[in-house]
Amino acid sequence: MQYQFLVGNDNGNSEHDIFIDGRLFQQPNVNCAVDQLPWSEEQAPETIVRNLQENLIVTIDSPAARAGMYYVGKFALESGELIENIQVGVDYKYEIDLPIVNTLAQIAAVAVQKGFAEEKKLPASIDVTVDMATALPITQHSDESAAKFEKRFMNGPHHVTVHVGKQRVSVKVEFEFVKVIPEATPVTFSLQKDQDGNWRKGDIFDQFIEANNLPNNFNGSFFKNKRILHTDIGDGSTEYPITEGNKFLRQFVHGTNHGAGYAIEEALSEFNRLIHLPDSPRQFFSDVIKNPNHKYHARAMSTLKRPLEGQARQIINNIRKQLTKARNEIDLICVYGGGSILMQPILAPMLKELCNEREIQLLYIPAKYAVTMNANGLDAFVRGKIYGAIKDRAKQPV
Amino acid sequence: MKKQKKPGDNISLKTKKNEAPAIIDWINSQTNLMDSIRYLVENEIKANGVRNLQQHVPADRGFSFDAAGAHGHGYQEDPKHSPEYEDIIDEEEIDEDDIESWT
Repeated sequence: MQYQFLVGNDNGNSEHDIFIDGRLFQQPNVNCAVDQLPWSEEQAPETIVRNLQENLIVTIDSPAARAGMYYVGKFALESGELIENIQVGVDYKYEIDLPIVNTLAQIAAVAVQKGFAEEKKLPASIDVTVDMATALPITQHSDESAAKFEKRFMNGPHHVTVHVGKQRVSVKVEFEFVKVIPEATPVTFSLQKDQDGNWRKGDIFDQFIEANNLPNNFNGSFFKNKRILHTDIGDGSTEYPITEGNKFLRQFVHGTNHGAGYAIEEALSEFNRLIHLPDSPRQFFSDVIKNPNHKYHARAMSTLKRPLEGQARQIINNIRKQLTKARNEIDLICVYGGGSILMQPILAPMLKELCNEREIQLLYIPAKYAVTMNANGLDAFVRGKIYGAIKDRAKQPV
Repeated sequence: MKKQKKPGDNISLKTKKNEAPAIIDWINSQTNLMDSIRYLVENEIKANGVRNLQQHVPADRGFSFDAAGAHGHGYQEDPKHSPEYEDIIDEEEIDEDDIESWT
């Protein structure tokens, strides 16, 4: 059994958003190494395969990562084991094993699901060849680090055993070609086109159309020659690249270590004091923030206000720096990323003022699209002509 | 061999750098460019069937840069529709520059 997958892979500090074979999977970007399977009894493969992403256990034998058995994503988070995650500001994504292990696990899981759907039973083994686009934070991205990250994937094959209950499926994953680009830059492609390659339309642009009096047959073709200053606000880093149409302007590459994660950490102790708990984890605080009906929601938001303002001011300063560098020759500022949702009430009015002053349009991506813009962009990139051209070039003998 | 087009595929349209002004004006006067071009193709098929026009028309057709004006009946309407958001099925042109910026 042989599959060919296209993969757009956004390995974030908090979440792993990955398009495999056209489908999006979202998982906490964590794993843990374990010694043995948690199952003691035989279970029907149907139920596990259907929810394989929630029960993801793999054994990895790969030249790129420490061999062993891993719980991945949600299953790792809920296992109570000691968790590995990407440490903000400490880890270099291209050096640690976590992105490799979690990427291989997600790809192998999809292969197993596809094989099961076709054969109505678990296949014994599957070969997968992969074309992939993935990204590194701008502060970590260089020609050398990108090449190093690409090689770790391409120096395969990687052998992944997917554990479905007590049964095993052996999946051999080989990367035919991998391209690593700076985070946020591929979003220029997902603004223009949808997944089928048509000009993008839909409610993602509603506010933008209304605010700028644009015609109602507006679509993604609007962006095809625009100079865009991106502001991709993550948990641990914020990226400010500039793109022009399908081009990425290297002279303006800029990223900083700001984000919603820093504000949350700053607010946490004050929050704990207010709710009379000596200590509560960051995850609890995050859940309270996301749930407007929680009894502590208002208190959590009030402790967060000042730290968020601090982060927002830093981000505005960096946007100003980029505008100065680009001599204000920017058509629009586009804001997205998980951190942009929490900061919207503070950041959007500040940005609106700045944009009016500099005669620039503002596209603040609505919350429901903000998190997956990068994964969408990487998916569009791996399907696009530029990826094909780069791959062809790389395959030519020098 | 050239890849065969299927229904739903894109075709690319790009004007020449030295396209005659009359052609540009004609393009700008269409509210639905793709359908207008489809109409021209329909007429050609009705008259001559399906054929490779390159084997029947000269490369230089003497369509001068002011042909429309010279015949006195060029275009009456002002082009009032910007083609920017039209239903032009314009396959994006990726040039060397674009690729270079990502490598």
